[in-house]
Amino acid sequence: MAFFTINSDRMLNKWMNAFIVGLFYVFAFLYVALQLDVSLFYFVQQPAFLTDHTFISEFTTYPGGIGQYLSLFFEQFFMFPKWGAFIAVILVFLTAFFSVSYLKKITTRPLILLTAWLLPVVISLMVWHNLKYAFSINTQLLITFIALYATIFIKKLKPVFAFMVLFVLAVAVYFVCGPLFFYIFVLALLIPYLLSKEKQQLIFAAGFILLVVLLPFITHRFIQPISVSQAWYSFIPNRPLFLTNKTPWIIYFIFIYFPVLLIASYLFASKKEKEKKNSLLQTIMVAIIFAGLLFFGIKTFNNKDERLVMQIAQAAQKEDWKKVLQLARKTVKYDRMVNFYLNQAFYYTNQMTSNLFAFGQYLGIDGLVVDYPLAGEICMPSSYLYARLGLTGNALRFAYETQTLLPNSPFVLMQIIDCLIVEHEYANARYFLNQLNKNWLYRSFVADRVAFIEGKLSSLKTLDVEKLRSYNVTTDFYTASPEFNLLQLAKHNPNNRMAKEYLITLYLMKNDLVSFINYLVNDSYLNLTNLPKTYQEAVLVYWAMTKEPIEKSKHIKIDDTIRKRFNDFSKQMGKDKKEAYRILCEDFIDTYWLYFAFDNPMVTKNAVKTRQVLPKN
Amino acid sequence: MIKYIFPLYILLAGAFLSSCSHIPGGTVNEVKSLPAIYPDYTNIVIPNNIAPLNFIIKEPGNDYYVQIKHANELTYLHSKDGMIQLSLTKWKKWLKKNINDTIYYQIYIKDSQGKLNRYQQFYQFVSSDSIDPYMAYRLINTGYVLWEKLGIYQRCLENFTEKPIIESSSVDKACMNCHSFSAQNPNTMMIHTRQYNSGTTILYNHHLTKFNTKTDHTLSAGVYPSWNPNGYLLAMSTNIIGQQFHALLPKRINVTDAASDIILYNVKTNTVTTCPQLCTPWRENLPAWSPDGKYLYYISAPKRLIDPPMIDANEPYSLLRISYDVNTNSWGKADTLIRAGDINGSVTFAKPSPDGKYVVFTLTHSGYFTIHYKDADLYLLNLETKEITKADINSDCVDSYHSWSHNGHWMVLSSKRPNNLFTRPWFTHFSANGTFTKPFVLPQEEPDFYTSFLMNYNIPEFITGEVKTTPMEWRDAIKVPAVPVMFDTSVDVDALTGATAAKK
Repeated sequence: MAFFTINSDRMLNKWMNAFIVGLFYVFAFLYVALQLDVSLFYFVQQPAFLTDHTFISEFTTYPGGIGQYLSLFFEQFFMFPKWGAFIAVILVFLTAFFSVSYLKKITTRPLILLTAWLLPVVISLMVWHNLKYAFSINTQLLITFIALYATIFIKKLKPVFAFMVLFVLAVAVYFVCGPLFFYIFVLALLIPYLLSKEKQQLIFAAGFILLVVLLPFITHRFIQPISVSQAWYSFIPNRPLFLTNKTPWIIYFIFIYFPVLLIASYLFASKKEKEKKNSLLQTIMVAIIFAGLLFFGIKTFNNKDERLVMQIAQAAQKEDWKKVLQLARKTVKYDRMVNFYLNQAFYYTNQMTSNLFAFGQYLGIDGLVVDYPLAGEICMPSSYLYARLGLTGNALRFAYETQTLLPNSPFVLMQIIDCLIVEHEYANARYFLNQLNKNWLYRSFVADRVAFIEGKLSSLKTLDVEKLRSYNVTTDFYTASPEFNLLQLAKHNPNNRMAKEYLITLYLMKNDLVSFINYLVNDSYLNLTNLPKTYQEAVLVYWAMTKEPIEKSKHIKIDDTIRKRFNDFSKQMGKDKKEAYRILCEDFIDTYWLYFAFDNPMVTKNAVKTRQVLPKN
Repeated sequence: MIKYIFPLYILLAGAFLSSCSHIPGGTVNEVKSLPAIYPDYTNIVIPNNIAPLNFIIKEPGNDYYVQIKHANELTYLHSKDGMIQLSLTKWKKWLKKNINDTIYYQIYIKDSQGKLNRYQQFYQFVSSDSIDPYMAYRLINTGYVLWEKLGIYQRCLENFTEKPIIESSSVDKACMNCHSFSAQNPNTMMIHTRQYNSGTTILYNHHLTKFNTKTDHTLSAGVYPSWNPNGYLLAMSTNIIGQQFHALLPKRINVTDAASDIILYNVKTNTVTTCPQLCTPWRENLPAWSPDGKYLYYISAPKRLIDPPMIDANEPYSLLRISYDVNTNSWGKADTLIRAGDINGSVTFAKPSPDGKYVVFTLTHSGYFTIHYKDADLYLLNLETKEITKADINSDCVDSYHSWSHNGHWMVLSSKRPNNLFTRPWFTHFSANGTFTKPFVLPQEEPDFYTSFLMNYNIPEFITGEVKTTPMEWRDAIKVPAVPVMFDTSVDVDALTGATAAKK
């Protein structure tokens, strides 16, 4: 014990502090790069940073908009996991650096300074687990502290002049960073004035208090047509509904911690604090407390299920179906979108006719096709599915709906461009190519598509234009239910295996075994003597439930094993329903029969949950 | 969008591009065609108060020289990239000096081998007829059901200033549409909001009030409005609107009504009224007042038999009008002006000219919501001779919603030319003899603006001045609960379409 407390070597303390700070930030980088994966954040939020006037002007219409615009510059690098992690952590480091630099002018107490170093990174690591977190909060905090740091130099000017400059700077902070950051800034300026006994200083303090009250009021009433929350207390940017979510409570610490440290600094400073040598033990204790806090924070805020769903969606977007299957195995809770992506993965890995019902298809058709109810979340997934199925018109429609919500999202623009290329609408594709070209990260995509349009490239690596064109319908119809759409696609092109498998699966999921059998026996694409496992299982159910099966179905050949299993299954069905389900789950979990009898939403009454459309401000 | 920033950039750009540079000497190769320029501002008639018509020369070359001849003066411009942006101040002077005269453009392009090519000269004739100084429109993305950012904007046509009248972000992301002005008057207007903060907000007597025009006796809140020139009567339709999406491009969406009727709202008395002629089992829709306020033009289609409609269902709308006496609040007999069967199409968006002599309407194969119909074209009905002519301003793409300037010499049309995707406002001059001139698109400061602007201009409406009511005032008016309107108890019919049920 004495070894730690009696150590009076200031250098050692300094190095120890630096070591601890370094340790936290290195850990933060590694954690963000290896565990959090900011590319997932990029995938969910699809940030775009453009420099044209139309784009920028949108961010000038509400307080905090400019900070959000600047943040987009950093967020675009989240596309690259390691660079993104580096940038995110550096921004937090700079935030801490400027806040510490400011505090150092007031106090030299190492514990306060160490806290100022560690709190931003600890809180950030917690909130970054939320994939819908608005990263602009970090950027705005950094800008606020840079402005605060600048006040150190401004205060050296003549008092009245300094006050005027600070006043203007505070107004700038309000418009660049938004109201809550403005309050932090003003509070930091206000405290020394309030603590001062000089009359002039108190007048200055009154000036700032007046500013805090009047600026949001004047902005709301006379300058910008914004809501009350945008003027007074909002820190989340204008975002489409599907990107908003409940703000984690820890976020408020970002706005509280600095004023608290500041007050603590002044309180200690006012006691004529002498430069005390920090005890090594205290330093280590603080480090341990923060490490514990971090551990607790990560455990609390790490929503593994949500991350997994997004990882699956990301893998599906990249058409990495093996990864989709692999990740889906890790899911614990049922999720409609996981179900949706998994079904596609089953198709692309040739398992749709054998393994589909091994996964709980609890929402039936609503997990196969997700175009209802229409909401931001389902538009792009639906667009991708319809594009793959070859119904490009519908794919384009859903992509346009998303573009309405995220006008400059690179993923959305890319999808629209590809759909238009498939549809031979080259002139229209160019509008979107021009817009996407403003995003420097996608110049090579644009160059490829332009070369294709101009005939300089005969094919595209990531888009099988000819195949999709051959899938597309040639006779117009109004798109309607998924069943109707799939039927049209399957009718149009006998080679559209995906549409056919989806259609048959849809019949199975609907328990519409008559349509299933009719399709089976009338479409030459399947060999009735060698049907896939799931189809054979469904045929057995059809035969069991139909007094007079259609003649052609008698040509269907069923494997002996499947027939035997069906008999076993049927025997159990005679028992008590609950008991039967428990027993059948053990041996027949992968069968259509279990779905047909128990898991079908027509039996369970499971339905897609809908939400209130828009939370009121 | 608000142009809060970059004023310096704009000034610098103007100053730079107005700098003079003579055509270099040497051999000139004559090119026997017009130069390709974007937007196409070649050989057009322009108002004497329009903003500069900036353009890009879309021909290959290393140096671009433009010689502009105006009122016996020559101006030379030089550009390395083909972008031609004209100084606003100088342009204004040119227009002033050239009223009823022609501005000629001669373009020279130096190619990669240093050879100078001279293209055929093109002109812009400066009309003595000025255009209304402002235009209002909605900007919206291409989505069909969802929305996020949209708003009603006003653009000064004499320069490049665009300001929001109200944006959805101010009012909890409410969807907004149906902006309408009484005789192009910026002080008497309305905007409709829906989904959130829904209602019809009316600016009348310098005061904003939000009304709920839906009553127990009407199908829906009033939409597709038209102001009587008296400034206090609003004709609107009440509709049950549906959407169907096409599987096969280039068709995209079909917007149709299961039912519709027409109502009349009196701002002074806060009452809604109608008459049996406007609430029949047929679908009466899109009312438009004559400039003297004595006639109400509208379209009407037979009752729908199959709902939702089949893919090629024919829903033909005819054009009718009905006389109205504002003093006695009495309606005359409905008169069919164009029978859909006679014209082999469906009539929509009928807009009487301010002189009362013509009606310009859109003709399409079926239905009335033509903004997605490629075959939609504008036609002119001469009310004296009843002669119908196809306007020679149409393109292969959608040519639809149009409105007149207050002097009747300019018309703005919503056209999706050249690629049938985005709607842009195009202007055309209209002569007393019933002819239009080649349309030109709304000029922008950056000539390549439209090549990557992904929003649509909806319902362009001329206004004679700026809407001075601020977005903050609109916001505050829209965010309060709507004042309910009263249904006229003296009318013996409901606007509940189709049924034409007598009120109980």
